[in-house]
Amino acid sequence: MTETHAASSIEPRMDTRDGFWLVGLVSTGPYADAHERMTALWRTIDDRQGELALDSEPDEWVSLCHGRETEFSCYIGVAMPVRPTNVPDGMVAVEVLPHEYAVSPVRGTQDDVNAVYTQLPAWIEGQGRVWDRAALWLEVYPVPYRDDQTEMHFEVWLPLVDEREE
Amino acid sequence: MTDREQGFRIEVRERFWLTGLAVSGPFEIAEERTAAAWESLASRVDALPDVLNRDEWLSACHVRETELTCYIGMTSTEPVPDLPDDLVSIVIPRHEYLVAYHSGSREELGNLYAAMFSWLQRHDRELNREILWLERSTAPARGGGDIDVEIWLPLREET
Repeated sequence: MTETHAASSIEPRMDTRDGFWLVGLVSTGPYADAHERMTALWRTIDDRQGELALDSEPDEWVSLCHGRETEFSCYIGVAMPVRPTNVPDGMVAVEVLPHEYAVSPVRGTQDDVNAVYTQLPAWIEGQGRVWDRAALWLEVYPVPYRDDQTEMHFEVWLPLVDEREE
Repeated sequence: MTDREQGFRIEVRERFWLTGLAVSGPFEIAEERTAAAWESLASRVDALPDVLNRDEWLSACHVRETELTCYIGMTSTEPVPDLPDDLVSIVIPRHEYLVAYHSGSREELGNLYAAMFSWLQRHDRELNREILWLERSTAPARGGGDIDVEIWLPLREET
């Protein structure tokens, strides 16, 4: 018997985020092998977090993604307020400019993740705003994502076009 | 119309596959990494799958606020079998493009892009900034010297 799961309604909000630097790993390629690639990337950044020379356990782990028609790019790592002086081998430091975002928490299964990516853009439109699809969007995690998690828990941050440019 | 614009054309390109290497990163390192990727791919061309068109070398890029993504490689009209582990292969769907040819220094390319954006505005067409744009050549890019390249900017559908 197939178990069905009704995705819950989202709890969206508008929020702003100051500019920051993300230090971490990047992967680019087709959607076809996305799950395998991203799971491996999260495992690697978790294993290598000692190289990031952090003073304490990070409060959040961030992925920066841009999806296009058949392929996408994602950076994952930790946010820093200023440009890092040392970037570990094979990692990159990327500057993210200040933006206004539409945000929604995600807690649950892949169905709940899908619901956010369907419902949040619709909510943005309902607010009379425009999702800036040319910019990176964020997923913010309390701990690094793991494939064996029974429940996913993170926030989706979709960047908005500046109201003065709409 | 300026002399430069005389060579501009609108062209539809059917779906194809681009197979090669992918580079993403901040602007300050992307150019060096892309050049290294071209060199690496060109050095092993004889070992790459036969289905790839040796006469068409393409970069497909997307530029964002502070960083970019570029795929560089060769094209095919069908999926590539037996892909080496370190290569990626992506599908580029059918699109309409504004196309222009450039022969000269890479530094002068900026002027061509500016002329293309201006042309689009005057002809009431819009660049699709959400997807990859193309640079097409008959040989892999090499550092220094003049280049012969076609720029293909994807257009939004006319409403």
